[in-house]
Amino acid sequence: MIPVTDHLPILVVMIPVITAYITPLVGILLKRTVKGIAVVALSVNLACSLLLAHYVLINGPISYHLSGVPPPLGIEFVADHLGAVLSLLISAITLIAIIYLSATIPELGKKKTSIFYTLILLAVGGMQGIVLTNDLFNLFVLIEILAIAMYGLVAIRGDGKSLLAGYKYLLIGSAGSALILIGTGFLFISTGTLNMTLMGDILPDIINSWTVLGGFALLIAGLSTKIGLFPLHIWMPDAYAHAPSITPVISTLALKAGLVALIRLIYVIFGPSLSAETVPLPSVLSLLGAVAIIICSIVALQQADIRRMLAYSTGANIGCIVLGISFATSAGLEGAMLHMITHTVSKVCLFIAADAMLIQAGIRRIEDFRGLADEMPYTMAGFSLGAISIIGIPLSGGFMSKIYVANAAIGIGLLIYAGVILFWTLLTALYFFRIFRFAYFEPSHREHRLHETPWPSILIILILGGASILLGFFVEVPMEMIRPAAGILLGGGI
Amino acid sequence: MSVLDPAFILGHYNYWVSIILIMIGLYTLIAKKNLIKKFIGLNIIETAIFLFYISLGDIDGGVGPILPKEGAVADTMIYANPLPSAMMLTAIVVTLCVTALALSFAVLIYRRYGTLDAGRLMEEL
Amino acid sequence: MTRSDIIVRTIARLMVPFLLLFGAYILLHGHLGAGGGFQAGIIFTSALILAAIGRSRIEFRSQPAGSKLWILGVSGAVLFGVTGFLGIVSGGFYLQYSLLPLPFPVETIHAIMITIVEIGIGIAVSGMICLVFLTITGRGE
Repeated sequence: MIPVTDHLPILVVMIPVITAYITPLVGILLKRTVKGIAVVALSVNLACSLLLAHYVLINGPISYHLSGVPPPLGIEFVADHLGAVLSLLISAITLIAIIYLSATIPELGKKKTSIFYTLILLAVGGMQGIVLTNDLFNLFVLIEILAIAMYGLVAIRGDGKSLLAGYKYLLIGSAGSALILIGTGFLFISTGTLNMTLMGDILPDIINSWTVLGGFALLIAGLSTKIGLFPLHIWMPDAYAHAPSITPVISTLALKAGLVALIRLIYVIFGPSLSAETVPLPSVLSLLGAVAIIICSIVALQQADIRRMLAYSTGANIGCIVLGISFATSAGLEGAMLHMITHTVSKVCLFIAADAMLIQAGIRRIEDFRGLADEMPYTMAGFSLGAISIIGIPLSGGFMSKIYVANAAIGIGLLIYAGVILFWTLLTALYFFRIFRFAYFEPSHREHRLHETPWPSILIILILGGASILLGFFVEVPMEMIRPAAGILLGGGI
Repeated sequence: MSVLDPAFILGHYNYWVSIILIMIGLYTLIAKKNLIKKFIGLNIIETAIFLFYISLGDIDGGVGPILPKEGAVADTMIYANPLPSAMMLTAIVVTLCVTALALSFAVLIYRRYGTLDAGRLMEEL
Repeated sequence: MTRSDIIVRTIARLMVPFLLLFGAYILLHGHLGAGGGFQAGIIFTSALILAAIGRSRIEFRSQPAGSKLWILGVSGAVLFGVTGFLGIVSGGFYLQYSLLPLPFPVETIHAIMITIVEIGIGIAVSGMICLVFLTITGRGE
């Protein structure tokens, strides 16, 4: 008999997926319980993730063989420290997002509500699978599950603009999936296996083969569309601006799941054989990351729509995480993982606050923020806390993670990238201070006084805002998981 | 073996077919203005990938990897690698889902705007 | 929708039973040969779509048909997921059937359980593809 704790990796993935399939059935039979079921399923999922993280922290990584067939033939799930901490982040944030969603007024019709929850749960299952799987083809399938759910979530409102944004996302995303599929084929035919750890063992002997290098390049390019790395980020602003409220939140997490796949690709599959002579990966990816940071920040400065601005800010942050990953040192990897966590918490806080303002007051453009601190003080306070962390004002969560990445850049002598991060902080401050000026120092031009958001939303926004600041003070809590994660990854996976 | 050796080029004709199909698909995806035609280009790319995978697993004269009733011949049997075919089955399912989704989007977009011209539609965004 | 041509109608009516039989063969053959739930589901659906093309599409498109298809598709997927959890309950891994306490040899248990899983997949696929067909041709979601 296998102890129950060993089943946690599959439970974390299958609970959201099976609930996703049950939800439309429930939606037809008992219309009112859909939200309840989604909240219960995600709570159970959060409990499983917590147990998993606790177990992994104490006993080390778990390897789970689907249908009992061991790795060379069967599909393997591995819950290492990276997977466990990201799984915990995904469950926690989606639970908060679902609670926020069910506390606010439904903006979609009754018919679409159950489909909406189905898609969210399916996306959660896909993300959990991506962070936990150790099989390259399984990774492709899970990325597609996540992507299909995301396309649906972007376009579910069904008006013209959201459909167009969804179609754009679909075309770019499917092209990326096709690249991932070819790359998987190249690596599969070179190594004869799909298990990432085994591939990592075989690849050092054949790393100079053009097939392997081509597969690597195709996989990196395909994953770049999924994580929105700079030249391929163009789907993000449209998708975020026209999708319903919760989609940007789920998408922020989906980008992180894609980044985990990128980390595994670079460190687990190619880690042992990666060196500057064969693959000039650090220089290429660092350059892409730095360019993403600068250009996305400059474009964000010009946006008038708050959600577009946040989307470009996400693009810049993805650049920072890729920069940390590309250094191939434990300091850089730790900084990248910490930045994944702090950026997710703060950006989700910003998106939820922006959505609360949109629902309550119809605020969409940055000029509409005039006098908002007067009329919606708590929502604006939560927004400001999240913004402080995104800017990286000292002692907030975002500051700590940026410092880690910048330190890593200095550690390997690439001072220019530390300078890029400093410049980026100034640019971010510039576009958020514009909002602060409107909100705190300018009078409102509205005829009616706005009402404050209902208290459940305020509570959620303030919790997220507080968490994004407190992460800076209690940075050791996530670091306790991240340090062994970086150690394992630099050692080439388990 | 040299890359320019005619035997090398002709011997790998299955890969050349895949590459040509992928290029046709890429051209369709980029150059065509119609949203559905763009997606057809993507479908051509994906079909080319299926072809590529299946030709990876196949052997000249190989049979399906099913054990015959009398186990004696099993040792000398040449059989095709079943894993790429199984993988492609999953990939076909995935592509089917994405295609269905894209066509539904296209139908709804056409109903809203009365056109599928990408140039005009992207101005609306 | 106008009524179809007589040739299309007759051929469609002739083809449908054979397609359904072929689908059933593919479905039940899945555990030891080429075949399986997905292909069978697609063949079932193509039979239904052929029937719909042969007749008019009106009766195929009503609202109750939509929600019944949802139930069909969802219950197939749930059947698959729950069957997988039987492996955990019996003390093995997810989708591991060899430890199930059934009075048969291991091969037979495998065949039975995989057939159940394939039936689940087949139901789910045919339900969902029918829904997609309805959505694209019909009113749209």
